[in-house]
Amino acid sequence: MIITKAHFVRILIALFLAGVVFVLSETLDSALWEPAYLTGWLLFGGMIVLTFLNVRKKLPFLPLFNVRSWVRVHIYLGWFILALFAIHLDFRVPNGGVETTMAVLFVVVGVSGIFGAWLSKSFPRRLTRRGEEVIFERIPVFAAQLREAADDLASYSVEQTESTSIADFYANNLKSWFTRPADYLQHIVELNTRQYKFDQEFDTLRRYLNPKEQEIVDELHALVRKKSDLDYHYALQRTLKGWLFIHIPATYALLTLAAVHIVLVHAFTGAQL
Amino acid sequence: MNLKLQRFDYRSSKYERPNQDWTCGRLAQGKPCRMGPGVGGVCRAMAECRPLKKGDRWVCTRSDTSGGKCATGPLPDGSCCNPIPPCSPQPSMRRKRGMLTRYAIATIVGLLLIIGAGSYGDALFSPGPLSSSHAEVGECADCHSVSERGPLGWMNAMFSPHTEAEDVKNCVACHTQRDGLAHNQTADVLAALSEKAMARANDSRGPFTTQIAASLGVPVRTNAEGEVACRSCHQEHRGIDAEIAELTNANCQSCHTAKFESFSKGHPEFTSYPYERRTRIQFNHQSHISKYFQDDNFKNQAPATCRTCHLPDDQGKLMLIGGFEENCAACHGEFIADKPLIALTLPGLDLETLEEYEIRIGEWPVYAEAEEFSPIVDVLLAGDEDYVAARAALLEEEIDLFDLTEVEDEIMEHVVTIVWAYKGLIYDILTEGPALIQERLAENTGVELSAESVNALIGNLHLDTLTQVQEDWFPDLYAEVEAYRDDLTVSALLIEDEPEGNEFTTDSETWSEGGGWFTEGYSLNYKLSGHGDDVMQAWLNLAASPAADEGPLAEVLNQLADAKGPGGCITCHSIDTVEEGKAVNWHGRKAEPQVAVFSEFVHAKHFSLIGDQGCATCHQIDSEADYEGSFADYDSSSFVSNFKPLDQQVCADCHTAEVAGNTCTMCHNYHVGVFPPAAVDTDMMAAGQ
Repeated sequence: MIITKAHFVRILIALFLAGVVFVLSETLDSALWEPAYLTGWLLFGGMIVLTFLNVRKKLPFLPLFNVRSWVRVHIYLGWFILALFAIHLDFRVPNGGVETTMAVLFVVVGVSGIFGAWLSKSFPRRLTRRGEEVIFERIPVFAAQLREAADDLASYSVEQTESTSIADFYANNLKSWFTRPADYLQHIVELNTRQYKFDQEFDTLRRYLNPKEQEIVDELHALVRKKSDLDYHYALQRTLKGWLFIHIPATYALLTLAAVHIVLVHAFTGAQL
Repeated sequence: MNLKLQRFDYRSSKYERPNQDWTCGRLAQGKPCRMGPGVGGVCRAMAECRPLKKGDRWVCTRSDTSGGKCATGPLPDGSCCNPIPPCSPQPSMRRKRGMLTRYAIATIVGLLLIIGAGSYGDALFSPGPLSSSHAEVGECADCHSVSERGPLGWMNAMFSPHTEAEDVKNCVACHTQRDGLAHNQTADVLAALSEKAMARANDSRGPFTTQIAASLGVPVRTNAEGEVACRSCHQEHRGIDAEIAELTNANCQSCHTAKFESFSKGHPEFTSYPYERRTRIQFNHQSHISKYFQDDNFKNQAPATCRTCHLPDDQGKLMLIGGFEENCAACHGEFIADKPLIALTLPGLDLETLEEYEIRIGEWPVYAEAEEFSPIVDVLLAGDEDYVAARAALLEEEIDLFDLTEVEDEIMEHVVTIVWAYKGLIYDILTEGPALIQERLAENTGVELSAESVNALIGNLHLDTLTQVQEDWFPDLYAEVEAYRDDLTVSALLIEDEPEGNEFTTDSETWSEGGGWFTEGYSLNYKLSGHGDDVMQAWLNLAASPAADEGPLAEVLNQLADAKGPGGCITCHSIDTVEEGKAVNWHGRKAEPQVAVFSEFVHAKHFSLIGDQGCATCHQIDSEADYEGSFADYDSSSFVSNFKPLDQQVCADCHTAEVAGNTCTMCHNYHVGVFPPAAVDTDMMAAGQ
């Protein structure tokens, strides 16, 4: 991921706006007003606006800018909200039951959001660099196709060579690997340990095979590479979708608690709406 | 071998809908059916196609993406030859995420309801522990009126006014001496203080945030009555160790009209601080240090350092002065009792003329020779209109009582009135006792004294002493006064012998050398026992008690307040005008831990900082100041100090934000007033059981 000048400027704008709110907050505080009302409502309103990205995705037909613009607003408003959160807490660690839970959820949402933004910027580049572009929902179908192709090739090798060397090799080393997505973490961190191991084993096997068998093994090796590329795409695309399993539930849990928090604050401090 | 997996043409790639909630149960095996699950997650697959009847033949309709038309074709009854066994549709990623979101919300709501309804409800909803100062507060409702209304009530309270005002009542229920008014002062007092501050203000705009607040027109948060709610400054629920009394400088300056940036930048000059109030004890540092302590006669008694006389109080704030015995008596002690208090003295009369004109005044000592009337007697006779008129007439006519040869008859009548008033007073006191003095003081001055207070005034004057006075001065007093009051003729009888006492006993003055009553000629005097004499204090307190500068007691005060009068008390003990009259300052300023003033300084904290100059680092004597002139009246606010104004820079050298701190509250109190410690009432009987 490359941070461009434009990224930097937008982050600076977000932080500058947060700085303006901080000065306003201090101004209110100096005049004995409770600035947490201002920062709190800004925070809550900002989080609501952030959730509009999800709504916008569900309503693609609405002519309300493209999703890319919404994502951009989501990210930089997110930076602003993160700074606002620190201002709202007065740069302290909260110690109430509801407030601490909210703070933990906010940190989870914020950190997962930053992580997700990084993933969204960096993983697509990696995906285009390796393997074939595939639709995530169709990966199981392609994996099944590769598995069937590998099974057929193993049977074919027995018929053509009257030897079980390749079939045995397939059964012992590859069959179970073909049955499910594998090597998730290795692909995420871009380690090719498995691929290297398979390459070594194929090279070892080739030394004992005749030319006919080597042709079949080459085809099998190509299927293995294809499966590895598919696993790579599966791992990265799953991660691209998976971080939202933390970000979104935590967001709505946070908003629920925020609503409770607002009621408690206004009721117990006597700040009439 | 063609290893291309993903195709995007419509024949070989069906349209994917990731937004759908369910996926085919066989997707994991890579064999999803074309139709896919229904909306509710119900498997809809029955066969790979729905054959179409064309004429009398059934035709396979399997799509190209599913492999195209099958070789077998539909069965004779028109059903597909490739039935699909039902599957268990699986939720899509989107649905799983949605479910997880709903579970998260449900968990939060559930936990709030379960824990909130239980005994940990207060702890859950509390935004944090209270400070240690409020550790004894048990329930939310102790401070928050809305607490017991329940969740629906809380939501209602969000839109209801006045809950803050109700909560303030809960605060002041314990903090009884505080109210919402700034500094516990009325608007008039604050306005006067503001005016005073503005006169001293520098050209400064205050802290940055205060300037912005002014630019934006942000007012200070108060209610309609101008009161500041407690929580505006005291933020609770920030933990046990939280300093809830901490305020920023900007907080203070938001209200203050004279704004400035910091203590070192723009703080108004101290001007007369801390020498604003006249010292209670008059002590001229200038004359003592430069004159008396240099005198060879007193050099040995001079204090070595400031600490000889001044020591800090228990809190280290005030520098208290030591007592008379330790600090003053060495030089001043022996002179205190030199001059007695003259309570009763007989004025001298021109008895020859009185006798010549056959004016019957009864007995009167020939040798009575006082030229002045006793102010104390004047007070006791102030209710006698004839006496008051007689005194006034004699004063007006400047009558010399030793020469009545040429006075008019009217004046002579006044003389007679005075004579019988004196005799009557002695007669009444002897016959009625101290109760008469109590009664006369109440009637003549309006000062109601208890029997104990009257006893303090007469200083245990024994009946025998007064009887002796009567026997020496007016042996036939009882008969004379009774006859006079019955309008009977009283014979003139002059007392020609001065009372000399018993030749074997010492005289009464010598007897009372250590303090007490004695007679000297025809005068009843009181000899002071020394510094702190109770009788002198009682008389001075009585004389100073009325607010007015006129009246019977005013002359007593003039006599006693004379620096050369008995005791010379007022030489050092100043008299202040107070609300209910005047008060003698018998002591220097005392530590009052329960009193909070606007500005305070903790001397003890600074002792280790001052250098060779010691106290003079801050307190430098002003040799030009007319210190003693400040004590000419009873106004404690008109004061010229013995010391030069404090140099603010001395403080500012250390009191910066980076070094010793420069917050307003280091020196200034917000809550000003008397705050006695809360007392606890314990039923001893119940405690004993």
